[in-house]
Parts: sequence; structure tokens; C-alpha cells
Amino acid sequence: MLLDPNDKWHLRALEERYVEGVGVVNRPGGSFRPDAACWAILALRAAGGDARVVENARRLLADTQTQDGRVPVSAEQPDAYWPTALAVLAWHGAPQYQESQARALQFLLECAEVKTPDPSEALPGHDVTIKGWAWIAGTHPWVEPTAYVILALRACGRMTHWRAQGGVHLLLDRQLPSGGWNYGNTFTFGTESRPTAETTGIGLQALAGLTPKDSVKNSIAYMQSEVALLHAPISLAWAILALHAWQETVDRPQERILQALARQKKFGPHNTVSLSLLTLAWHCRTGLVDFFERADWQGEK
Amino acid sequence: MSDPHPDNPSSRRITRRALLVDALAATGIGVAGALAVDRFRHRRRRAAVFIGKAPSYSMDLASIIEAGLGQLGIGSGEVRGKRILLKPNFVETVRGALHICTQPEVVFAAVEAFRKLGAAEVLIGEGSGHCPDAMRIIDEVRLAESLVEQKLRFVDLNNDDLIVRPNAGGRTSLRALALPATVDQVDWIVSMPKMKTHHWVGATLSMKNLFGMMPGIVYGWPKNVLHWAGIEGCVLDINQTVQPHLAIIDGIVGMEGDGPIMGTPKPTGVIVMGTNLPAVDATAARIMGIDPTKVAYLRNAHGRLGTIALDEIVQRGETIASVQTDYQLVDFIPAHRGLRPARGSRAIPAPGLSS
Repeated sequence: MLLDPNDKWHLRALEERYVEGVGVVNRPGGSFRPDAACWAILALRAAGGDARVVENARRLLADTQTQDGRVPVSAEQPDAYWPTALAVLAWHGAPQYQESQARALQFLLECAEVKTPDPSEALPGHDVTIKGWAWIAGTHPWVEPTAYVILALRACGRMTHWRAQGGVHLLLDRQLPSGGWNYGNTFTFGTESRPTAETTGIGLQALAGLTPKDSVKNSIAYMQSEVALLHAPISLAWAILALHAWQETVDRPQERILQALARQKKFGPHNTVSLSLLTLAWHCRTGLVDFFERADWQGEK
Repeated sequence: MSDPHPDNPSSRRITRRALLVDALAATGIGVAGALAVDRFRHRRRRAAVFIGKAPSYSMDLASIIEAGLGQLGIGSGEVRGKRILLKPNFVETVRGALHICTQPEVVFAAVEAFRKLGAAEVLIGEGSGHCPDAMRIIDEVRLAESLVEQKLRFVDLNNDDLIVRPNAGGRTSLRALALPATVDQVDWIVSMPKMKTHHWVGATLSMKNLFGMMPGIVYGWPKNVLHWAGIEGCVLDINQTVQPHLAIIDGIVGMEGDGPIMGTPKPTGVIVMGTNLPAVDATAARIMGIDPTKVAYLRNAHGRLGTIALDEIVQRGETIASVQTDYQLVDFIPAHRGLRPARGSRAIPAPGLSS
């Protein structure tokens, strides 16, 4: 059981989510999940985990990439391409996967099948003409998948691309006036929607350093008000990463992370995404972008 | 659940592989669809629906659910040895709010009732429509600690392993439905929705609640694929494919106005139960002051998935009239317009639905 992200022995619990011949699973006994693989790779990189596990996980991830560059949730669900941006991050800094990473990036930049309804028919709330990224091909763009792509483009130095600018524009457009983000609807029938912690954390993390702090001040305030109330690993980890990315303080973040990990004693093993995000929140004390840009990623062998 | 254009058919890139998959799925649809319709046919006539009065969540709700099961003819003979998945509605949470999510008191009351009748295992599963973090959801609906105390397993249906079934309904362009693998590992699926108005489809009850069965990793957050394919058609397709066995509606405090998220609490004091989901939903709609024949997916479910005709529903427990309370409908929400029964015709079946 991973209870201490600093302890190499404990890290084995995360490494053991890699199953030979299967890849990284999201829960013990489960099937391969590319998103879990990506987060586990990043967490093990951040924590100095077993390099062989990282390499094997990256290789099996590459095996799931389709001809057009996408990394779908499963071979049977090619439209569910949202893990592609995470794969870009997971392959980052690994020269042997540069070609896989480049194809994934190309897919994301050319991905033009996002549905944008006729603006004249749309409900007021958000600008439906802004191009971002969807969870699933052929649907509308939403906050979380767009934020993942922005993180991937930032890591690869592609923020000058017009699609990257569109993604930032979309995230700002979908920000709730009172602060925070939900999945991506600001108003429905004139009523402002509510934010959710995990999506706000992801949105803030993606925008950190790209936009003036004043433009997200209400979201930072919301995140600050929520963080003390969060115990669930994914939401807590994103809240800590996001606030740190904006140089905001969090009260006893490491103690909070240990408490979230300790919940496994009561509730059973956390899923791989949870373990990975908590590990990243522990090790990446200025947020994820600095981690992606850290010098030791370059030329990783 | 608020994609701006829920009714547009989803686009599909046509490839040789897709054509092959579609051809296979079409074969499957034919067989599965016929079986499903056959199964539902016998459930249409004389469907029993139980209404139990429950003014507050602090009552002995397990006894009410046990009584309801008894009135529906469900006893230990039916339940013993079964693995039962309870599917509440946890679409989005607000700490302390009673009117958005199925309340844990009702869920645990159902657990107690099924355990008493000898269920081999009772699971709770949900795939929240708006929130990817299932652990946060179960914290905020006050479920987490009780899961441990009661040795219950919660399944995050958004993140379960996947199975694929042919779309048995065929009302939308979706040829097959990806479902959580847990569906194949249980004997019964019990839909446990909240009694709420809905700004796209009028009312959300036990049939619409099954949107939360659909894995977010394949359908997104919100379940946008289903919106593009058409919400009402998808409600029918999912129900015909998943074939839930029972509905238990939490109408103790429902939601009126701009549901399913931004509406206001509506104390109604009822639990509504039955095995024929259209009949259960039609009864709940009548309690809410909504004519079920004016809710498109209920109207279309009639005769296919069950019945919504009043004269085909055998009311057990309380009468509709004794608990009926008009839920506020909102003029500027198109889906709410014209949902009230015609004056003087409350609780009277519409022409053509009383066969």
C-alpha cells in the first residue's frame, strides 16, 4: 500500500500497478487503462521510481497508439481519444518515444471533429465557436480534456500554435464568474452553474503562468475555500497542485496528502490515478508545469 | 446535463472496420431487441407500483421499502442469493443539500431490506454525470464512512472495466453501448433516482437515472455522446439494453424548478417503487403534477418498455391523490411547457394509452 510517496519501498505499490503483458491497470485486477498508465509514469518519474517499470509502461502505452496518433481509452472505443494528451506527457523527455509523442501531438492539433453547434441556437452561457477538445470525438469541447491538451502543448513548447491559444481562450470563457470551473457549462437558463473542485484544480493548473493572476482570482479564492474540506485523493491532489502552481500557500499539504493515502487502510486501495496524482502533488511543489520543464527531463535515457 | 444541442445525431467516421462492427451489431440488435421486447411485453399489463409515505429521512425507511417489496410480490424467494446493484443518482453534489442526490438513508434502507431478504451481495454503483472524482462524491453525499461500517462496496461506474452490448433499443444512431462490467456481474439492477424536474426532458426519474450507468471514460463528463445522440432516445436505448429490475425513487425531498441541478427542494414525503420502470416513473410524474404522456421518453416507453397508462397500473400503498403536490415548472424552460395534465383530467389516462 502506498502510504509514503518519499519511501521507495512504498512506491512499489504504484509500480505493481504495472502488470507484465497488460500494462498499467487502474485498480488491482482491472484492465489496462491508458490514463492510469500516463499518470503512473509521471508519478514514478517524479518520485524516482523504477525506471524499468516506466519504460515498460511507456512501451505498452505506445502499443495502444493508433495509426492516426490517438491513444484511445481502449481499442474498442477509438472515439474516446481523451487520454492522448496524457500520453504526450507520459512520453515527454524519452527520446525513444519522440515519434509517438509527435504523432499524438499532430493528432491533437489536427483534431477538427469537435462539434460546435450553431451559435444562433445555443443557449447563452459560453461561446460555442471557440475550439477546444472533447472527451469523445464528435462531441462538444469541455474543460478537462482541453486543460490536458494545454498541459501537453506547454510541455512540448507548442503554445504558439493557434489551437493552443484557442484552448486557453476556451478555459477562460468557461470559467464561472463566481470562481472555479465545472465540466464546462457556465450558465443554463440564466442560472450560474456550480464549480467542482477537481475540474477547478485542473483548469487552474493548465492556466498557471499563461494568464494574469487577476483573471483567475475568483477561481483561486474558490480553490482556497475548498481545499480544507477535501479528503478525496484526486480533488485534493489537483487543489494542491493548482494552488502551488499559482504560488498560493496550502496549509500542511504534505500532512493532507499522507492523510489521503492513509484512507486506504479504511477504504481499500486507491485507484492508480489517485495514487499517482497524490504522488505528483507531493513531489511537484510548484505544480506540474515546472516539473515538465525541469532540466533533468531533457535527454532522459 | 446541459449540452446546448442535445438532439443532433452524432457523426461517425465510416471505415471498413466500422462497417463490419456495425453489421455485427445490427445482427445483435435484431436478436437482443426481440428478446428485450419479449421480456418487457409481459411486464406491460397490470404493473404494480407502490407508494410509501415517508415524511423525513430519519424515519425507519427500511421498513417502508420492505413493505413496498412485499406489496410488489418480492420476497426472499426472489431475492435470496442474488447480487444486487443499487444505482442512486449522485450527478453533482452540494454539501448538506437534500434535493440533488438520492439520500444515503434511502440507499442504506434498501441495502438493509435486500440483506434481510437474503441477497448474496448488495453493491452501490454510480457514474456521476458531472464529476469525475467519485471519492469526493461519496464523501460529500455522506456515503463513505457508512460504506465501511456496513461492509459495502461502491463501484465507480465511470471507471469500471468495460463490456459492450448491442443497442437493444435502436432509437438512436448508437449501434452498441459500452457499459460497466459490473452490469454482467450482478443479477439485479435497482434504479434509485431522486424525484426531480429536468430542464431538457421535463422530469428525471428511474429511467433517466440510468444515464449514470454509462461510463464517463467512453461517454464523457457530461455524458455528451448521449446528448448528441438524443437524450430521449438514449433513455429508451439504455433501459432496453440494461434491463433494470426494480426502481425505488427517493421522493422524500425532491427537486422542483430548474432541475436536475439548480432547482429548489420540494418536500414530498414519498418513496415510489415498482418493477415496471415506465409505470413507476409515470406514477411519480403524476405525484409531481406532470402528465406522463407529455414527457416524450415516457410516452415512447409505453408499450415497449412497460406501461404509463393509469388503468394498467395497480396502485399499492398510498394513493396518488393523497401525496400529490405540484412541482414548480418553469415557463422559460421549453421542456417544462405543457407538462401539466389538462384541466379536470388529472390522473386520467390520455387517449390511446389505456389499452
